[in-house]
Amino acid sequence: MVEESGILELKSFFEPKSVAVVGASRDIRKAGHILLRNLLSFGFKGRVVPVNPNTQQILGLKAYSRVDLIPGDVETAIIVTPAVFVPDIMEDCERKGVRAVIILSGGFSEEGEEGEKLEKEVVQIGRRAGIRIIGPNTTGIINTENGFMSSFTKFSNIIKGNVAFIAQTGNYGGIVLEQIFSSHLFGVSKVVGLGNKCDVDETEILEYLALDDKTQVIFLYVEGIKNGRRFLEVAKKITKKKPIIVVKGGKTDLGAKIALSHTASMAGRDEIFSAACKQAGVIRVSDFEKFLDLAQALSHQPLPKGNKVALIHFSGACLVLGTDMIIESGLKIAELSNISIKKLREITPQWHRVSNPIDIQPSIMMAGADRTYQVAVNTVIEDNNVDAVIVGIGAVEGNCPDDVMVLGMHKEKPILFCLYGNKSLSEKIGRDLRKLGYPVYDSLRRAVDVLSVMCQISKRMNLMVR
Amino acid sequence: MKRGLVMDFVSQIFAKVREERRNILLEPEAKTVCMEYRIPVTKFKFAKTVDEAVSFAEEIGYPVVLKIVSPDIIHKFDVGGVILDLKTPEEVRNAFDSILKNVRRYKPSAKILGVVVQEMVPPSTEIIVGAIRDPQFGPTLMFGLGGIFVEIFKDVTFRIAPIREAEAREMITEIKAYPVLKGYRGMPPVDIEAIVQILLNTSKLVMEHLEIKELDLNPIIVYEEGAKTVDARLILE
Repeated sequence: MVEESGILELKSFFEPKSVAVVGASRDIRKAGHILLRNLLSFGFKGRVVPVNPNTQQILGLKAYSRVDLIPGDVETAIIVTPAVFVPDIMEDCERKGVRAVIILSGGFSEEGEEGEKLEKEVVQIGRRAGIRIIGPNTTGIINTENGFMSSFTKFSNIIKGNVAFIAQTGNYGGIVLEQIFSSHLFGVSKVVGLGNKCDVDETEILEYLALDDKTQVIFLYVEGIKNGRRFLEVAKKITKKKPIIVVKGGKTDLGAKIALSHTASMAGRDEIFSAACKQAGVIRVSDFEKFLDLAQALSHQPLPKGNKVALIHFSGACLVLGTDMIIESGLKIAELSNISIKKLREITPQWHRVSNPIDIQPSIMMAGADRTYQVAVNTVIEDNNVDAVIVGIGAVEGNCPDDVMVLGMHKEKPILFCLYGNKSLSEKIGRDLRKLGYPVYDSLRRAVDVLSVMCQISKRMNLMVR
Repeated sequence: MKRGLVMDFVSQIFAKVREERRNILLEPEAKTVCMEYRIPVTKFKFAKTVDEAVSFAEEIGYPVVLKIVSPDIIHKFDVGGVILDLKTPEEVRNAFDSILKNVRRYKPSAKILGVVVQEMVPPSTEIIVGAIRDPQFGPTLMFGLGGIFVEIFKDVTFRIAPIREAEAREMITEIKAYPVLKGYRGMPPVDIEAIVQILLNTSKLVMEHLEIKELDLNPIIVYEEGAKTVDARLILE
């Protein structure tokens, strides 16, 4: 485990009191400009000082030509200059007493021999000076709590939340984040781009995030783990309290080769990585999309205390298919209590049987969509035999609730929604459901897969009551 | 303390291997290492002459198997370096001569140290227990059923060492072919406990000797009671 001092060191990457931006630029197209603007736009209250030998002022801030010419304390430096200048800048940081450096620049070990040499130099200076380094070749940090960020992606908006990202990739991460923010899937606590991992690695960041009470779900994209054994030990402890979900690239040989040039990683055997994840209670998924599906649910919904599922749907076919999927995933179809059956009876025509999975189309015809969905959802939530709920809504006028507020906000058991039908109507309903904290999917398959993983996580965290 | 003594003995074997500029253990060396870690192996003795071979065969009990011992031969079967089912001293003598002839024909420069005289055990279910030193995760264990189950179906499980008993059991029950071990089509169930012990002891071995790069116990024959490692291969870093 990282000792107290280790966590303190990392604090300079997330909550610095003063930041130098080395390579800041007046040119609005340059990363050095965008990142400076980002730093000033999202609420960061620390001192920000641009460093650029060719200009006196950027964005209203006085610029200095070197880090060690800045008066006062400089806790952290973000470097976005060409790689060849970085060793000298590191020495300036050493003289100044900077504690943490985020190197965004590419052109280091991921590119070849020359770059590797530069990186070694940088690491040496860092070690000698006691400076911790994140990067190089990354977008660095985003802390939504205090608005500190080193990223040069143009974000339209940042949504605060409880999901943290650790990624070995830079630009894709930035674009995916913009997608997440703009679609209101879930909010983010911290984002960490590790790049070439020349110093700080994923295991240290995991330890930091384990102690961060703003983070409830941790996502990790890696192409290679630096110290697998340490990662295992640390992850094992963390997954008892917070889920860690990992996507690992470089499965096939070709993929692995690309990974090598992308961030100069060591790739181990893929099955061994899966075994390690299993042993550590880490959930491994095959791609970002699966992770996004999971994060939607994990960030807002409670974990299930058992594996008995109530399936509410308007389509007979989906009820059958859904049942197959639920059973095949190792989950169970809940048996409704007599009280639940009685409650549902009130909105169900005489000729139609009441049981789980629940076919609500006849009820929609009899009692209307609003009342049907309200009664159905509330009934199964109150049923002690039910641990989790999946609801299918067909976005066609008359078949879907006018206002999803009728469903209420439930926090005791997870509820997942599947939307079908008219595109713009289902998008609207989806948005409204998400505002209530419900995850929304466009297929039963995705919802069942998510629920199955939620049960795995629940078991790992010893939350399963039965 | 006994643990310290055991480590030393195996380390001594490794030191001798290195002194001879090798990193692949000879079969008798590998099997000795197994014995030190209480991994059950077939009865064996290392014979340097044909007379020794006959005398050891008498000691061990017929039928026996003879296998070439040479640092230059890896695939003994392929070069006619293994002869099975020897039931009399005469057969042992003939086999000894044949093996030497075969090996000399295949690789005249091969350094021949002798033969292993090994008990020939009755057939039963075959399993594989292996270990490798993974560059990312260090000592890693592997388990599977032998033959086509591992070679064609790749039905194996991995665990990062060290493992506890519960994890050893998980490894065993996790493979798709597990029902074969429980007993199937008139074949009796095999000694799962023996497999658990082998996995745990292998875990100890690779954790206490990080210089082991690859370990292959293949096949291990498992019976209703007990198990025997027929072939063991050990490669150092």
